[in-house]
Amino acid sequence: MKDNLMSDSGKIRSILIVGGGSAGWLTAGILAARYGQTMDITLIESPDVKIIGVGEGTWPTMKSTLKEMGVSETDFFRECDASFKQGAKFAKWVTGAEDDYYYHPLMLPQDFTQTNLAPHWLQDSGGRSFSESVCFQEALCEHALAPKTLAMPEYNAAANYAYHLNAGKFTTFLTKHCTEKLNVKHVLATIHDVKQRENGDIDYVVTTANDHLSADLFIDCTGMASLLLGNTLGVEFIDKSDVLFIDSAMAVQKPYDSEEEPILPYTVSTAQDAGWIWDIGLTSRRGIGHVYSSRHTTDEQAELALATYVGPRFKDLSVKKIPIRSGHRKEFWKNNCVAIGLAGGFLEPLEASALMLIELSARFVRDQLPETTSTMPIIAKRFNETLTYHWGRIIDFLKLHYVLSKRDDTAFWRDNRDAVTVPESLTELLRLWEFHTPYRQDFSHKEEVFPAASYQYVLYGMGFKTQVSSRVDNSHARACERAVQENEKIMDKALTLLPDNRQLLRKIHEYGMSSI
Amino acid sequence: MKNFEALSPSKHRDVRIMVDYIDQPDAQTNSVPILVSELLLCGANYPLFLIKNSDNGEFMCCALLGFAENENLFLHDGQWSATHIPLTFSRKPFHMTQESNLVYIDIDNPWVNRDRGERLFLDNGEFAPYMTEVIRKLERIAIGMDETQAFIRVLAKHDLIEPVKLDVTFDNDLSEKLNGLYTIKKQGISDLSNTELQQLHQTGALEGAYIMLHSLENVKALAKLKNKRLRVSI
Ligand SMILES: Cc1cc2nc3c(=O)[nH]c(=O)nc-3n(C[C@H](O)[C@H](O)[C@H](O)COP(=O)(O)OP(=O)(O)OC[C@H]3O[C@@H](n4cnc5c(N)ncnc54)[C@H](O)[C@@H]3O)c2cc1C
Repeated sequence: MKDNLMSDSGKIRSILIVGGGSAGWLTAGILAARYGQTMDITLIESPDVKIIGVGEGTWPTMKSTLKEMGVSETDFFRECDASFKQGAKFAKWVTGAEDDYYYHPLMLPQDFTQTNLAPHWLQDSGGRSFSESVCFQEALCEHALAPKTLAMPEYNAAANYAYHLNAGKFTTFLTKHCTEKLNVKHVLATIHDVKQRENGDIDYVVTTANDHLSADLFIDCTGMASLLLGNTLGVEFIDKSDVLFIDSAMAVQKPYDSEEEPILPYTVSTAQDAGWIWDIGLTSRRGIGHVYSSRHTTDEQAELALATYVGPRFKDLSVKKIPIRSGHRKEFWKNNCVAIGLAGGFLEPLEASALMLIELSARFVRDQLPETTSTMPIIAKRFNETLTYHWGRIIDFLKLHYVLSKRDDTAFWRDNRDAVTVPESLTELLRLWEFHTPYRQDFSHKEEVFPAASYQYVLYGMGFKTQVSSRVDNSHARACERAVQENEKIMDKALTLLPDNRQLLRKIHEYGMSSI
Repeated sequence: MKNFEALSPSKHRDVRIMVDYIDQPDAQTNSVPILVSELLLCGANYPLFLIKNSDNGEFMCCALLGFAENENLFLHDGQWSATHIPLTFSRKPFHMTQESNLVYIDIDNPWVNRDRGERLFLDNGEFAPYMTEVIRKLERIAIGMDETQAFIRVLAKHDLIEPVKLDVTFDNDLSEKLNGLYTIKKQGISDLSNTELQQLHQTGALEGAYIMLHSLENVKALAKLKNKRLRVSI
């Protein structure tokens, strides 16, 4: 075996994924679905270092990720307590009033690829919110409806969706799928040393039992420890807490009050004095957590805010406290090591972008996997450029939510609008948007993580006023009218056709969904 | 609303059934479940598809009766013009429980009356010939449900089901798209091994599959009915 490897040395034949949280197992599944039979893919995780165990809201990308791995969506729903997510509802972000909310749905505005409805809505909103008049998904959310019927096959729906899932069960589910179906080798051991070659490449890792595991490519999925990329290779961490202030999290798991309590098919994010609270509905419970800035509040106050949100049952729940650090590594791929997941960095989960970035990174590695060590630096450079770009856009997009807030009841909200905390790239975009609505031309990257539509939903959901030109031609105006009417028609139909979210989830558990 | 009563000679001696599809709201539907035992008869009249039951996601064999929602193109002057009316319809307004074989009548069904139509019971309290026929149908349905599910399971097991999209344009240039329809995957039949074909043949599923495939020709006939109706209404 060893001789064989030596004879055409330089070929990339083996991959060691270090870490078995969501990042490790998603990466393993994405890589092994393509290379499981032709490469040696091993995942090592420590039985003692627990996974972070949060991160329960996904993007719609997770559908294709799971499908490509050959996962039965029915099994996934049943075993991960999964539920449908059709967007995020942002409450109290603009003024803090009780009735202050807007949606960021998962579907594009009606006819988005041909017609930009934003200028039309800005000129005449007809008294409706932006997302309401351009997209029918908000109505589905407000009625707690599922995005599909049981008659639709797995991964198909009438409205786009992502998932809420139980993070712990998800890694267990993926472990089983990857090891049983995709030929991933699984090692349970703690690494206590990492050996490098002269050129800095990682040679092998040493476990506490003194086993050595070597590979041609190492993927660091060790979470915030960043064992290989940060610790061993010494890649610098770029702190972003001057832009995004959140640095602490506190999470609880709340049982439903009854079997009838609606399972909300969207994530609720409710702004607080010094942060915000997420609320994610699974089939088995709700996951609720407060993320906040410790520079603007105390743990006691933060816990009180969480307790108020959760209600009287809070005293029976155990509170998990998680310190977090906003920022990312300066590089994500150095030598023969790529960091994916928290090992590469973390930003507050306001738009649930972490799992999506894991999928995107793993897909990049899969699609551009270097053939030989000699091409590795070229691919690494591309990877770093792409990822640095994406982190930048995500930071801008998250900050946008704070910049557009009109709240000035606490220092947290006021400080967030301080110009020195706003990235130059975002300031520039905001200047542009004073007169132009974000549309397709504004974003350069072919695989943009937040499409222009997302910027529209947040900008106009939060009451941003773009001074649109009155130079509109009639045919465009008619196209807009038609699109708005079409949206209303689809909305009426969807509201009668689609079942209650909890009911459909129950049926999926009972009958399953078919693959066709 | 339905109001089922257990059928009894004492209670329903004077009841008559007047079949008139004009006032049968249930008949205003564009598809009806059928049984594998009536595939041939249905296939001679209607395009047949597999459609999922929205309650449990399971496939049902169905005859397509129209394109638009609630459109039954076979209804004409109170009659259902076809050489065979699917059993789940022609049994109306009766129902038999699967567990106990008890017969129920939906006394709120508009066909139920005391003046016109077929009697259920003879003067001596025995079933009238009409009712005997209905009971035969009900029994066929009771057996046929499981048979039909078994047929569909065989099709699914051999990967012989695939979705189809119907997109039909009528004489008035309007078109109707139908989703959620499934049919037999022809290629799937060609891909079967000899042993599999043999098995399929023995269970009768192969014949059923071909009947379903051939019945698709009836989509044209159905479109013709629709065009005829459009001409009348112009
Ligand atoms: C409060 C909060 C909320 C979040 N919400 C969301 C959300 O809604 N949506 C979203 O997409 N993301 C969210 N995230 C992010 C998400 O949780 C993570 O991106 C995701 O769980 C991936 O984590 P990970 O696998 O990188 O790290 P971890 O889960 O920490 O896994 C680390 C792994 O490395 C192993 N390991 C560590 N050290 C060693 C060693 N020495 N030897 C061997 N193995 C070792 C551990 O055993 C473990 O298996 C949230 C994060 C936080 C903190």
